[in-house]
Amino acid sequence: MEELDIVCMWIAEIIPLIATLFSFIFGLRNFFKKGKPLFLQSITMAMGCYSLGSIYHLCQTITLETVIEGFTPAYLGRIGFFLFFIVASYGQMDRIVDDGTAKIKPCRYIALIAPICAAFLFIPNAVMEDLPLFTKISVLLVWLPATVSVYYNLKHAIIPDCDFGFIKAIRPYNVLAVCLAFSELCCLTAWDYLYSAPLVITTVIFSIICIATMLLAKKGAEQWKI
Amino acid sequence: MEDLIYILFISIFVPILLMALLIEKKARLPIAFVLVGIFISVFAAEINGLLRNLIIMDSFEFIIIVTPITEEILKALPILIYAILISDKRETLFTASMATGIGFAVLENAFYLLNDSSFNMMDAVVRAFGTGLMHGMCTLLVGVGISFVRKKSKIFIVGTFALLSTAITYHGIYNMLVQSQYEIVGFILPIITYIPFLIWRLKIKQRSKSNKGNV
Repeated sequence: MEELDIVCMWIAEIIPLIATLFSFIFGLRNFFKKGKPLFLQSITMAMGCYSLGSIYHLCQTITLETVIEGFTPAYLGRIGFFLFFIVASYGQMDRIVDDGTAKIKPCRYIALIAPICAAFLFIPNAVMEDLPLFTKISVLLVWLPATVSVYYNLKHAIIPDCDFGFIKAIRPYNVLAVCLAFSELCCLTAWDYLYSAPLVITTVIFSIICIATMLLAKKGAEQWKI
Repeated sequence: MEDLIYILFISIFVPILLMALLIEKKARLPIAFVLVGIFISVFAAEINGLLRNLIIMDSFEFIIIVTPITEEILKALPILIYAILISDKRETLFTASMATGIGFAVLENAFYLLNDSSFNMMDAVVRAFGTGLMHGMCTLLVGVGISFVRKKSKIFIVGTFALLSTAITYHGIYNMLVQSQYEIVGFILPIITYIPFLIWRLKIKQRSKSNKGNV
């Protein structure tokens, strides 16, 4: 591996870790107060879980000389990240924004675009010859909650606003949550292929969106209260 | 001594059990969960032994990948059952989960102590703070998290898995660091996590006390 590639790998390790750790601390300070909605606490936990996965990956790189192939708890950090996003969107927001009426039916169908796109993004990983089967399965385990998460986030981003103005207030957050999920899926593909430039680009984008998501979630929740 | 873990289990479990029968009802809950933790520790040792024979992996990889998964799932089970069947009150789950984790660590530490002849006072102090707190904090995270997600049946399963993922990853980091040359970082990690948590808890208690005083 060339020196530039090694530098890129380190950037890809450290930048998302800093961004998620910052988001986690930001969430702990702002969202774990009495009366704050559960979805804010869930996304904070998502950031915490991701940063733990990143720390695990970083420790693995520092302490081990060989790469462990197949499933490691670093993948669990990412799985937990998406599961917490599902808790936030499906568990709390969905019951508020989707009343089950026929008016929302088209939004439910349009939102299916997101999981389909996510599934297509998995293809490069699935067909990659160098990747061991266990690693492919591990990556798939990250993909599954991600597809569910993007479905709900896209649905909440396109759903027509109700009387309370909640959907409008939280829309920017939902749009960013979709982008965040897709950037993370691209990061995973870039990691598997070990393409230095795309890896750095996707991780930097992911990190920026990460912080922006937290800020917009805070802003959205505040607007809704007013 | 192949049965060492059972000898330890009996010599620690039985006296605490006998004490639990005599003490006040209020104090019985944490003691009961310490006992559960001790029992889970033996159970986890057996499960890990079985998996060790089934999964082809070197012992280091086994410790940093498989052990955190089995131990965290087993420690979370009694808390889950308690939350579903008896009570999902946050304070009760807080006590129960911390006690389970600490109980687990008590037997694990004792087992390591007797297995390693070079074990000294420093190792004991480091293990007590490191492993003790790590097991406590991991189970606490799942227990307190369950109290949040239990109230909404829609997110209970997803939320529990998410919490378990977090606890397993944390446990994995700890195991990896203590097995490496950065052992000391591994032992400091739970303390770094524990101190802010302790301050937060104390602040909450102080606030609720002053609120009661105002009323």
